[in-house]
Amino acid sequence: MKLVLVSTRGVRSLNSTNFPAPWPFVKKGAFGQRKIGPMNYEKFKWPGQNREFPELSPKFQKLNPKELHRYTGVQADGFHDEKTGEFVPVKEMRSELVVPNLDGFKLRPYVSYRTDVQIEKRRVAYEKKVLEKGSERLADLHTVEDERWPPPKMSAETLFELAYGDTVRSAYKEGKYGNK
Amino acid sequence: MQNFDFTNFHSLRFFKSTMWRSLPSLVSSAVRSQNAVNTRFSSTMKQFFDDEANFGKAELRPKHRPGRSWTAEELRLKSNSDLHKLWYVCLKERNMLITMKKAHTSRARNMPNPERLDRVHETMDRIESVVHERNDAVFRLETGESAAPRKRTITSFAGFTYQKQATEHFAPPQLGQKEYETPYLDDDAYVMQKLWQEKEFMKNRDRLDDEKRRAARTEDMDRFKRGAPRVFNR
Repeated sequence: MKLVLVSTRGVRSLNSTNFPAPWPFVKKGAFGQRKIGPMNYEKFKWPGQNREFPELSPKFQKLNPKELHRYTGVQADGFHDEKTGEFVPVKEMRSELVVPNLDGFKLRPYVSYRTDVQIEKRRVAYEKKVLEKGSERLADLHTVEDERWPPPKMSAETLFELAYGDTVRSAYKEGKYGNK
Repeated sequence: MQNFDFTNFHSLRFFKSTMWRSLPSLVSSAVRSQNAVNTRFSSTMKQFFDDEANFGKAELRPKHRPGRSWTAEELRLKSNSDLHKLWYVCLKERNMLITMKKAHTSRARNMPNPERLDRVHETMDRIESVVHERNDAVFRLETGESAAPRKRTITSFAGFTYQKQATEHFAPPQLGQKEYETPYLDDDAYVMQKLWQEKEFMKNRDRLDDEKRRAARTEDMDRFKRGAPRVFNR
């Protein structure tokens, strides 16, 4: 049983069976059934043509794998109970957007390039102070906090000084730590 | 927050902008007749679009051109509430830029100053890093641990040791299920690591040879396209 009539005289006919399609990008001239026979459109089957990835997108080749059911790309706000099969929403898992009031807010998404002049002035002044005093710690004691550049990173030590330093020192002076 | 398509919103002012004026008059008149009703959308939706004067322009006017992104040092001077508000200012700017980018792309037009998108991304990344920095300081002061998630050192099946983020166990792990760091490898992992080290040694040897060869080249060799000897007396 043959779907296509094949010549028995050793002559190649115009049936599409005699013209297997090459890779699409190899063909230079015309395309289509009449010229080269049936086309194998395989581009959409290879991953990465449109920057998609099969393991992440349930739309790849419309396979709809079971592992990607209900895959929405967002954080879940509950879980599926295996015993009852129902979805249990959890209040703590729900994301909340805390949107501040932006009325009268002066900061913008971009910083003017003129700021670099002031930054360079502060940097030079601070470096001069460091050279004069000998160390950054001594220079910080003699520098206005807002004019130091670069401003220091927030660290646990700084936070300790701000939150607990005075309390701990006064308690130590009062002898509450048992060494005296 | 979604990015709305540009074509869903039509109003009389859009017909007067440069983008529509450049279309053939027949097409624009047809579009105008189809959208005879003047649809207005709220000020909330308007924030997803740039100023009409900037549609399809090659570059913004000098007064409206963006500066640079915020640096981490500058963000350290701001309070937490200021950082919070600045984050949302950048979020709105980013959504506006993404909307306009899609609109310009669908009309084959050049978006003015597309580097704004990169700068907004940089600013938002730095805001996150500064907030994490402060959070880390609080955690280290109060609990002694870092604010970043814990990491465990594990060894893969091929013998590579790497850091992996620890995950929560909902039930006690079964035997052989949990991953650990293996001090002594055996079987295929040992062979794999031996071959890998040999490969790295070979690469390092080739790199040193290349450095020697580059150092041995003189100015005349570069000028007259002569090569240094391929083999040295090491």
